[in-house]
Amino acid sequence: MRWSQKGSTVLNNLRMLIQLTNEWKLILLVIRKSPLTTAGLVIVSGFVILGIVGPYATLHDPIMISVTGALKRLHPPCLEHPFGTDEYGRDLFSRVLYGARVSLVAALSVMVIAVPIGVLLGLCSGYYGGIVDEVIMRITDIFLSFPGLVLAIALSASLGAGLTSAIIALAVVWWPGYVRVIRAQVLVVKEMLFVEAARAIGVKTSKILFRHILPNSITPLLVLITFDFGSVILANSALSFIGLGAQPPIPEWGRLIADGRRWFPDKWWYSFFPGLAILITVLGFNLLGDGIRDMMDPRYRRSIEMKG
Amino acid sequence: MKKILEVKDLRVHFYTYNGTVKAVDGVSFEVYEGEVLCIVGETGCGKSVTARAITKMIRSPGKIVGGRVLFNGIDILELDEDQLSSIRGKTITYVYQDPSAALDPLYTAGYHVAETVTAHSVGMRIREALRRAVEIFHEILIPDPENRVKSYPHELSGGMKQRVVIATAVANYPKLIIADEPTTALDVTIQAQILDLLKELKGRYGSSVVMITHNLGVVAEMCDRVIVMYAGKIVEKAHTERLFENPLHPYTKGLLNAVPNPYRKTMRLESIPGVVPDMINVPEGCRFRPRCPFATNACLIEPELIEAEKDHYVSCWLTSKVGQQ
Repeated sequence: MRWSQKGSTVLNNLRMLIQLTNEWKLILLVIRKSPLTTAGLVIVSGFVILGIVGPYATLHDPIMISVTGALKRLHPPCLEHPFGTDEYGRDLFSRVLYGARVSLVAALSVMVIAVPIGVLLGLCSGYYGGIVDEVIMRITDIFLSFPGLVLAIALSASLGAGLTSAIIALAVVWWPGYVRVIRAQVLVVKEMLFVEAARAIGVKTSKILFRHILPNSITPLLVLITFDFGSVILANSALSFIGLGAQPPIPEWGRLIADGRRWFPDKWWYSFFPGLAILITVLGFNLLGDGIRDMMDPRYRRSIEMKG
Repeated sequence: MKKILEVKDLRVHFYTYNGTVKAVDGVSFEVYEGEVLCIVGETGCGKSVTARAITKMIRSPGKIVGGRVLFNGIDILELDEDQLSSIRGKTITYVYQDPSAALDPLYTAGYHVAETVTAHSVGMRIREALRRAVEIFHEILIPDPENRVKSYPHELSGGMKQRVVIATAVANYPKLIIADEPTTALDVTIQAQILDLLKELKGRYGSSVVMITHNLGVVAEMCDRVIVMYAGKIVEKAHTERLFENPLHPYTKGLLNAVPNPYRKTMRLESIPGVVPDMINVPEGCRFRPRCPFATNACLIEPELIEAEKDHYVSCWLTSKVGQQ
């Protein structure tokens, strides 16, 4: 009896401790309480690490065709070649690893171009309103009125096949989404009293935008960026699948799937493993995006804390 | 006494889908150096809009359509945005009604003060300004200022937040503090503290205060002169004692009767019948006519604001008739 009372106070103290913890501890809590988010985080960090060190960690050259390799054309998965080999005897495991870097570079570049454009236009559009808003939003609508991938294909094809043109094409397709998200947030945040208060103490408009409005609108942007990382990887693979985007001999996942089609389903491993890589990576980003949204949004966060 | 602010025939309209709302319709008043001027009135009578219009803080769909705001002889309404931001927060500052909303949740209490300081002194770093914030916190009696500057708004109580807002308002020793219902969101004991603080700061920095409130207790406690507004117009303007002793406008009388009086035994508290008029279709003539117990046919013509006795202005036909007799 006594002991169980003691036990419950200990439990209460623990609960209070959890409530008193700061954001970082909350993140740790989410990781413990939400295995899916953790899985997403693990996959994404694995992807990023492989993208950085992968090409140096492979036993076989992912690009060069070796003389001895020619003897092992389309070899099924074995200990030496866990993903098998392609028609030139190159190790598919090394090629898929190298592909992670291509995808990482592509997704990062698209974000680095598209996010600042979207944020800047979204801030101006939402804050100034009126004619500025009208012009920016109608231009955005023009871009959104095309199906994204079709526009990307058209642009990429007209710029000439290659990773750079694929990145440019995808960035052109992706920025309007950010304009919309930021604008919607700014419309809410700019009506808040602290924005007026900042204006009333003589803070310049640019500072109000970047110090007060943007930081307070960042949550949905972070979530969207995480989700879009996966989508860009998918779209980039789609581009290279149809022959645009990164050109051989650079291994790109979409390209590998396309190359493997000739031998499918006989030599299944050729298309299967790059496809699996895409699946897992995109899934990882989506799971992480869900987790971030749950953490940032108090309405969802409550449900996590209740569970915890 | 020297006039520091003179508002002449200020008109602010809001263009809504239902029509034009004349929120402030020809308001004139002046603020003297070192005084506290109160603007009283019901919700929606144009008090806050008047206050915001003083530094051109009206945003779309609102528009200042007429009038002049002379501050030390300069017409503020003719300044551009750059010149305005050098006045806002430096010579004219605001204290807001809801301190929880007036502070950015992402920044510390000290940062808010530091931001005001850096906005008006070229080349000053945030770190130096933070030191200044500690000084100001010390001056306005925030306990443990060194640690409080590092607190985020959610870590502070309502009264403490309002002190931080006041700290941002007085950081640059302003000439004029516009306090828009500074105590409405606070509980009664804190209200008194905040009013005392404002009074003390006003004395210490020699600032004038325009206090917007609907609380007549605050008026009696704080103000030198009172303006009573109704439906976008000034209906009465007087020294505080005169207004309480001899209210001339039926609306002012109604307001005073609606305050519970502990010395008089009454079963029911009086109220002013009716509601604030629809500001899109304002009543013809005197705007208080539909609710006024003394309304006559004369009230179909709009009365002017006239001086009924020395420094006591009222806009009512009743008084002017009394004056004629």
